[in-house]
Amino acid sequence: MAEADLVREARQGGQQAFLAIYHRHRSPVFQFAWRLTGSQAAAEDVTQECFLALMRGAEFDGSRGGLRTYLFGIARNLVLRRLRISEREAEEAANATAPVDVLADLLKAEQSELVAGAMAQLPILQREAIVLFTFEELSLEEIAKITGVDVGAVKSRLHRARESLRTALAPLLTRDPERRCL
Amino acid sequence: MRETDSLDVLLRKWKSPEPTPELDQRVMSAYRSAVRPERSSVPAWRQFWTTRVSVPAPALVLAALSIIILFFWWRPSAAPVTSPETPGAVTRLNVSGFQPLPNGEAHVVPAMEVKK
Repeated sequence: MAEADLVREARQGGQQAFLAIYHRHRSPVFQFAWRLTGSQAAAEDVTQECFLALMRGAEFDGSRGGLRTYLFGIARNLVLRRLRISEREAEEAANATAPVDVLADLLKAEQSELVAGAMAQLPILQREAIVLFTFEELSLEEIAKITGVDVGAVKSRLHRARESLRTALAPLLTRDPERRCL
Repeated sequence: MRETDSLDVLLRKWKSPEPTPELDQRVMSAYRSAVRPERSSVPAWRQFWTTRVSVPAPALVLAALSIIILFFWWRPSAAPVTSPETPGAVTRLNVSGFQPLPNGEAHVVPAMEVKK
């Protein structure tokens, strides 16, 4: 059954249809929210609100993109609302460079924690761009649709995010000079 | 084209936790209260004939007893029936056109004359 049909059926009270949608997209939505908020509780709240918004909100149109993209769009708005960051503030922060220095923590922290710390220092719009691109492996067009900007803006945010992360994580990167192209 | 370099390799070491099982329960509970199944398309008058109501047996017995008691309590008392002195005999009296005799004397009229 197509996802648009599943959504329609779930909105009419079809519990099985809802479960099918939920189990298919629960983890990606949760992980996306967790990587943006850095909090398990907040990510779970966002995940719950996200699926409820899907049931209550405007009609999902399958021809305009996948359900995952649609859900990420809802989750993204919920996270921004939760972080009480207006679009303008977020945009201004996105243009700033992230001053991150993890050298002092190198000896006592795991790589994962260092990455988390460096990601947390990124402005929210850059963070969501890198999360969607690197972890969720969405295309630039899909990210543009979710974030409501054009592909050029997405590329710009990704570039700035990667530069900040490269600077922040430089000590780790020099130790691991692996490079490959897909 | 998607380029993967040492930065991507490093970033992917940042593992996300899994959502807790409590989240599933919360979401399902919220879904049930937010979305109710659509009403049946069967008309209400048809649903009435097929609707079943479950009543506890003691309540049913009590209700039946109450109805029986109320029936006898409010039953209208019947008019007293007087039994005729001679069983099976029916007396019919018709006094229309009765005129007393002017002199007050009684006359015996034979049945033959009455018929005439």
